[in-house]
Amino acid sequence: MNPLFDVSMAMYVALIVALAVWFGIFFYLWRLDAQARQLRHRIETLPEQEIAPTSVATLRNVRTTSDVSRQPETDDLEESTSIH
Amino acid sequence: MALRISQIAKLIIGVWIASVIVSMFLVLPQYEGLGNAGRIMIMHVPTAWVSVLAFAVSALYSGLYLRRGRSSDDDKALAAAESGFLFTLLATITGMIFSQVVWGVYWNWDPRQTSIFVLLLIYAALFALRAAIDDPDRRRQLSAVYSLFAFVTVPFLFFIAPRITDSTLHPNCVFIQGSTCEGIVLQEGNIGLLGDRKVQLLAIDRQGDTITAEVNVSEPGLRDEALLQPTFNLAAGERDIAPEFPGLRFRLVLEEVDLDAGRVRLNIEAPGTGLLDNQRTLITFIASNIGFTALFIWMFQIRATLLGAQWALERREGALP
Repeated sequence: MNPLFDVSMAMYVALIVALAVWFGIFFYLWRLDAQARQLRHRIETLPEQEIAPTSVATLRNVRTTSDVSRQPETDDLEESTSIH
Repeated sequence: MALRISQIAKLIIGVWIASVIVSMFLVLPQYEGLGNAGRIMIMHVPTAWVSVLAFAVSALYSGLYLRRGRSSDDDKALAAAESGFLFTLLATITGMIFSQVVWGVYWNWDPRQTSIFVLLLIYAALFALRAAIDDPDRRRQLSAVYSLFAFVTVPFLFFIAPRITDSTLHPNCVFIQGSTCEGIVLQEGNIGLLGDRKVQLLAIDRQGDTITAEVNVSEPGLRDEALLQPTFNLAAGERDIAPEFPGLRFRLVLEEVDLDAGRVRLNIEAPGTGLLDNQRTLITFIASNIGFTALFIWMFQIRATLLGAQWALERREGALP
């Protein structure tokens, strides 16, 4: 018979297993807590662009309704788009 | 400075709960009728208590969200509800282990087991509701209202439902003051219910100062029957022999005898009765409640912080308005 399951040892084995489980949970929570704190700190301090790049489109020379009646010129149709 | 205090407090939680575990296994005495299995009560009851606390916190922040409209209140309400769900699961699992040892089965739809199962379903539905709604404002509003209604059921399911019925094997009398633990009064030939066992008083015999009640005990569904003979000592005015129910760690006790009227009072004695009379057990039990409450507060903070961060990131990425 495995000595770990002996009646006199069983209580200590159960204790060690329970403590191992608890310390596993404790250190997981400790790390999660530290990471959550860091994440919150970064979100609060860094500028928005560094957190998440955002697509921005810029239009130039947009035609208005009054321009529709006249013949379009090459320059008027130029558009540029920049992505940051 | 605040950070250092917070870190020290968390370390104390770690050491505190480790001490409770050590005490649970090495310091506490064995319980009569339960042996080492009774030690699980030091985990089972505090987890159930913390789940009630967590659901109350969730309802509180849900109410605050409806009043103030702050997303951080919704984060806290969700964090508390999730913690409460987790602790309810722990209470259910530890209860099932206890049930297997004492009742011989993991699950037998005892009123206490049924009520905690319904509670789990109610809060599982809250998470399903949140997952089903895309619009964040609508999701927060609906879940806040649902959470408030869900909490209304908590006192009923935790405290009232298991008490209004006598037909429970849960050892209410040990931990819950005011539970109905008065047993049943029977005359010869009468039938009654103790726990989920049908009992029938067949006869009352007297030999000197010893009164013996012959009681026929049937399992649910009348699968098996057994004849138990609890005794009462008239000279001492107290119970004498208390036989165990077949296959259970519960005892049948003859508490009172009225020979003139031909009546006796029978009761079920749950294992663990008198458990908290022991000083070491009481201190460990209170320490466990404090430790688990502190653990809940820590878990609640972490989860609320993560939910807040998730919300802030989604907002910056443009996923949210």
